[in-house]
Amino acid sequence: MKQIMHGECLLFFAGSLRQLLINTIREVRMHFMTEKEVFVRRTSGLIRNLNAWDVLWFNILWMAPTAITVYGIWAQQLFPGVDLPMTAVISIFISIIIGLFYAMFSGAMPRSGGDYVWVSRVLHPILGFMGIFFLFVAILGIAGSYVPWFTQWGIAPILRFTGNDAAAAFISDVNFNFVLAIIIYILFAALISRGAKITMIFLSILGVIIVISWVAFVGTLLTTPLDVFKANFNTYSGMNYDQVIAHAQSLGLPTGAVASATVLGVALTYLNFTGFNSSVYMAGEIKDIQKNQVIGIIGAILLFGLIDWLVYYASYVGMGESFIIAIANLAGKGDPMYTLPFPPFLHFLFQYSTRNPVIFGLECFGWSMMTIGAILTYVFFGVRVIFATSFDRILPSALSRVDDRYNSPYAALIFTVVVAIIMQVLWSYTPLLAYFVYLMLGWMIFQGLASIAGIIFPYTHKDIFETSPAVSRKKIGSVPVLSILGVASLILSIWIAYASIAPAYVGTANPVYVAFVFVLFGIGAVIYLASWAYHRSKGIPLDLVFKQLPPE
Amino acid sequence: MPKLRIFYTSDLHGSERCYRKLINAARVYKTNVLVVGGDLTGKRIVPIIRQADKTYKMRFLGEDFLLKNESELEKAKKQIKSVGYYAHIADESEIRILREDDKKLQETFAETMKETITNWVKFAEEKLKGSGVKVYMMPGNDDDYSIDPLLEGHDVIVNPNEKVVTVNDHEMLSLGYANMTPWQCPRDISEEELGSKIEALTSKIGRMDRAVFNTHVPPYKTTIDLAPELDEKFRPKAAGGGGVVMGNVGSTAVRKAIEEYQPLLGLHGHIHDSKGMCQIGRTLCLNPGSEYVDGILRGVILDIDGSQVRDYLFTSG
Repeated sequence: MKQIMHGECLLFFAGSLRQLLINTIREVRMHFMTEKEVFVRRTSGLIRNLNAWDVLWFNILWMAPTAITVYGIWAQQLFPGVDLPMTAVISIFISIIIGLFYAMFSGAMPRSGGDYVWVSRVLHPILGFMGIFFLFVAILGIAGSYVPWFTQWGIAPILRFTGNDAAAAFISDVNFNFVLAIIIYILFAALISRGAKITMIFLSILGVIIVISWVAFVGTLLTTPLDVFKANFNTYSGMNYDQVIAHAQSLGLPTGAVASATVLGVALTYLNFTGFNSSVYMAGEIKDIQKNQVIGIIGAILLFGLIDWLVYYASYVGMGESFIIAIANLAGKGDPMYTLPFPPFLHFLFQYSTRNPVIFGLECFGWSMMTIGAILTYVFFGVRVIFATSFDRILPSALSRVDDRYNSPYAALIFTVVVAIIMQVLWSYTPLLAYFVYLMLGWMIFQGLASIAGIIFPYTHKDIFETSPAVSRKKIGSVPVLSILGVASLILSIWIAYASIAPAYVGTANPVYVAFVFVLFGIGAVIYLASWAYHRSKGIPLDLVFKQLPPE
Repeated sequence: MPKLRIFYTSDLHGSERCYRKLINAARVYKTNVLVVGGDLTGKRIVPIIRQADKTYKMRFLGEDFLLKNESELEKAKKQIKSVGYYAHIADESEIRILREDDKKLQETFAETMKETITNWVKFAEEKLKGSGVKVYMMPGNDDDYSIDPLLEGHDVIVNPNEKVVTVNDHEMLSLGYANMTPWQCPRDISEEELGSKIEALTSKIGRMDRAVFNTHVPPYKTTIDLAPELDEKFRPKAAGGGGVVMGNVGSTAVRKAIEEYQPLLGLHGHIHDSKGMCQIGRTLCLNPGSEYVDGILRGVILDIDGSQVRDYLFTSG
């Protein structure tokens, strides 16, 4: 019954959203139709490079669908009884609001692109740099964790499944992971150096592999009877399916969905959605931006949301909801009954749905490709940040040097890769990156600043707002939709920021780790102020970069 | 303080808002020298149809507007000008003629452009009179020759095109021409002609180590001359994966001159999305790009001291 409800809900939602998307695209089309309704003389023109497809895949791979199978289990451990498919549906709604806000803002200031510029221009440059500096460090910190995910949670399971335990252990070794990370970063640097378009083509190829692997995962789970899963689990895991559920029940764990757990668990699923708007950072390279940004952002939310929902729904059908709740919590509590040699992530448990090494291998390979895609988008983002801030002279101008042959920002690329490798060292050999546990707090603070910028932008920058495309300057009554969405985005940002440090989510919040988030913002401020003082001593104040010139 | 601070911008393409920001930039950026590197005039006319009941209708940025009175009409005209379009008010019948008669349309364009440039010059002369500010404003390859006389003989506005003018103790060579583009714009000329014009001007420069080359078109094969390659129908050439093929479209003649003479500075525009800097030998070449459609004035502030560029900053005002 509940499964039917999920399906109807999604269909209704998809229908409404489709209409919204059609209306939006129609408006955007009208904007371009005006080209035929004005008189045009023969002059030079220009076209940009990236299309909606590129934008969509960039956003999806940033969102790292990899983590769906991991986050679902973590959500069950933190909030036993969370209705995972429902959290996917709710997260789509939340993301659509913030996504539309970002797409509309990007449409209003298309070439400038990105919350760094919006916050810098509308609020203050120091706030923009603090936010983007935080994101730069945080994102490269996350990238550091993804190489071990790639080997230990992506490739090693295939090796173990096929009986190559020694090889699985070898590639899980910390030193192997470190060397592999350096090789990956260098290869990605070479790829990015060939230009944005080549990078996007590579990401699209990864995207196709990932989709195929998800089709294998979902298709198998939906077509394999639950009894087969039970039988395989009982045969190969060394545990018993029914006993797992019974034991969990005896510990007081629920066997089905719990509404309160679902409400709280949404925060965790939403964390997996973050990044759907990351294409705003490359707005200057997107052609027909008003159209492609909307399609790329909203499309990414819908597609990712669909994958998210399907993965959870299929897992419930193919493995059993009560079993997933039970095994996640037995593992989380370190219960002696849990004897699996790996965490109960959904893509690991998938091996009990099929004993076919090709299908299981395909699923794990696709999973590992998602970590690769996410790392690439993070490095790509890092390069763009360094390049842009160097152009604005906050960082030394040497970092904006571009190679003549391939037009690649090689200095920013080298710098970013060096930082990524430092992060990898910290991740591999020190516990320092534990300080990044609250990075979502910092991310949401920056998103909140961007929301405030969006709320006041139509009023403080009336001239730009009033000449932006129709889709960006829509009003409800006399209030700009951008401002309304900005308010909604601000509220959601505050809620997610709170949820990310709330006791229910992380246990007892560590004040030192929370403070670290603010320290990172502070370091950004110090860098900005140092650069500001340096340029002032040389003659040109840095705050002139975005200084608003009166248009009268 | 440096000996000379310049604010350089280019490709305003008729944007009233950008132009007014430019005039105010002298005060905000604390400079007495504003340089506009060409392409002053707009590309599009928005017809505003005068109706029998004394209302007006128009379609602008994807929306239909009914303008009920003169006040609404003025507001609409202001908005149209701000994005670099020209407003043209006419009866339905005249609009129909413009659609069918290209000669008449070109005449209308010329008149509208001249009227705008006249107003711009007047605005600058009034606003900056007695301030000591000079605005070096030259036409670019997109600009019709009919606007040239309008830029001559003023106190504040100086047309440096095809001249070497002295700005403080720096000589500035200026050329608004471009090498041939697919659109065959009014001032598109061959590389040979471009080379000859540059050569003729360089002979007038005394100290090349302090000289500024203000050429609308950037030097060839740099990071500031990248644009999509086009086919014979002006469509971008498709690349694999849905992208377009990008190519260098700058001038070989400009590059050759910079390589040979090594001036202090190269100031360039023309390619709006190719904002950036590059170094050719000792010469720093800059292209601030253009965001005129969004009413944002892109430019670059330069502090120059003798034969050194002490500092520069791209701005987005």
